[in-house]
Amino acid sequence: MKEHEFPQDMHQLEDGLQRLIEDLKRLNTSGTEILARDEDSLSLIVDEALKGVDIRTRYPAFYDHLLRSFALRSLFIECVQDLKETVSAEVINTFQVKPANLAFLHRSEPTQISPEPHWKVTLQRSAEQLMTAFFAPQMSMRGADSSHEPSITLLRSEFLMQDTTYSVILQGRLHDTRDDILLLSLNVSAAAGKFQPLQSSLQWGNFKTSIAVSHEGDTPLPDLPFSSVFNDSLDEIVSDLHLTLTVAA
Amino acid sequence: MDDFLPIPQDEIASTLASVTTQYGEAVSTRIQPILMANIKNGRFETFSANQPHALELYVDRLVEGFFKYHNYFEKLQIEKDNLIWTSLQEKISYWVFHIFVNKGFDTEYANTELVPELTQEASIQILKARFTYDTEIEPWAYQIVRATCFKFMRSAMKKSAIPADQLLELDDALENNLPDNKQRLDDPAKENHAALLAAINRLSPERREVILQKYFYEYASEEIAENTHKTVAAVYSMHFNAIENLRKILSD
Repeated sequence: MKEHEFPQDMHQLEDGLQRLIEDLKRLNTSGTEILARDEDSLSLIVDEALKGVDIRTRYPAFYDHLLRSFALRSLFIECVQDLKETVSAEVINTFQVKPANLAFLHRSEPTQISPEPHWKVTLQRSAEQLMTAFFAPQMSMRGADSSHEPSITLLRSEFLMQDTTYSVILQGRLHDTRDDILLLSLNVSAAAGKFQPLQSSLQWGNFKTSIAVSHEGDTPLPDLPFSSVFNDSLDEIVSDLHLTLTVAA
Repeated sequence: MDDFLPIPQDEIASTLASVTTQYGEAVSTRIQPILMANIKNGRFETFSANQPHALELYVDRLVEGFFKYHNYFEKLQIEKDNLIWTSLQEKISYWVFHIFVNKGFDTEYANTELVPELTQEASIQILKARFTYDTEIEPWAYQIVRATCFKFMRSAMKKSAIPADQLLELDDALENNLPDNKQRLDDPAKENHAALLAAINRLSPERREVILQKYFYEYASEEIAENTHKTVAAVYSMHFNAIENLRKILSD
């Protein structure tokens, strides 16, 4: 191993001393407080340290907390050591490997994964995508009844939420007699798994609506005035569409 | 306050939109709740550390983690695959053993009593927990195992609580022996650099080497590990121990 000596260059020496003094000033040998956020982020930092990332330069705020909290510092070192450190043969020899006990996997009660506080999906279509849907050469026809105005598929998607795959189609249809509004309907079904009621929230330009989707199939939404999403001359869509679906509590 | 996010919603939406463009909506919709949860628990803020394009980088990391591990977690938590659990439990039981032995517990007691019970308990916690997808599995699972073990230790210590009057005396005794925070180096201008250089020379050769390489030659911990033929963990340990040593030398 090549041993290093203090640098001959005075600037390099001064800079090094200054960095060390900064760390010495922040060092606390008795701080027992660990912030909840630091504890929650610890596996991320440990992972980075194990991958060779320099925590001092890449995560200066966390490094500062490491210096200021003895408890966090000890925890960090223990974690890195337990995951990486070569364990002495003496310790390995005293560990008795036992057959895995997997009984807990087959208990009668179902495993409940605690739901995320905001378990939701946001789907979006850009104004350009919506223009294509609106002014496609052939708009999709809904059913065989030609007396109806053609429907426009504004958004179609599938997503997985809480073990259920949902299929969503948001469609618009021109009104039979009025030319300033679009009739909207939201079709939601469970493609796989059990359907759970959802709360939908649609934002498109100035148009905002929120409605419960309590059953599979079509749910009508309030009529959309074209003026809320088109430009003044009503020949270009100027707003993106955002549809948010949340599992109802 | 629950809905407070440290980054604007539209930035999140546009970043997820680029995930949709690159990987499809199915991936984007799976990433979104993971991202939101990690923003709320502070992991994203820790990661961002004022980096430019932090959200983009973080979402890339989540996508990478998702592709790497989502099948594994399907098997682990949904299918409850015996083979995967058998392998993971071996690791969990070893971590449990190591944590207790490091804390001074008897190896025989750890093997026969603690490891079976706490391996089960930690496995149940892992079965129920949500993976963060911004780390490898081991550091994430290890945190859960460690928290389970420490919860057990705290509860065991409560059962054998020391009487309150004796605790007070012990606290006082400890307090008197702790270094006084007022002795800390408050004014770098007044610091005698020569004294600090001398203090560095009083460190053990290994710790002195880490301090020189870290502060004067600015090597990253991994480079120091290579130069000194140590693990990265050992370098971090030596680094922190060395500056604690220095503070003590300078305080004496």
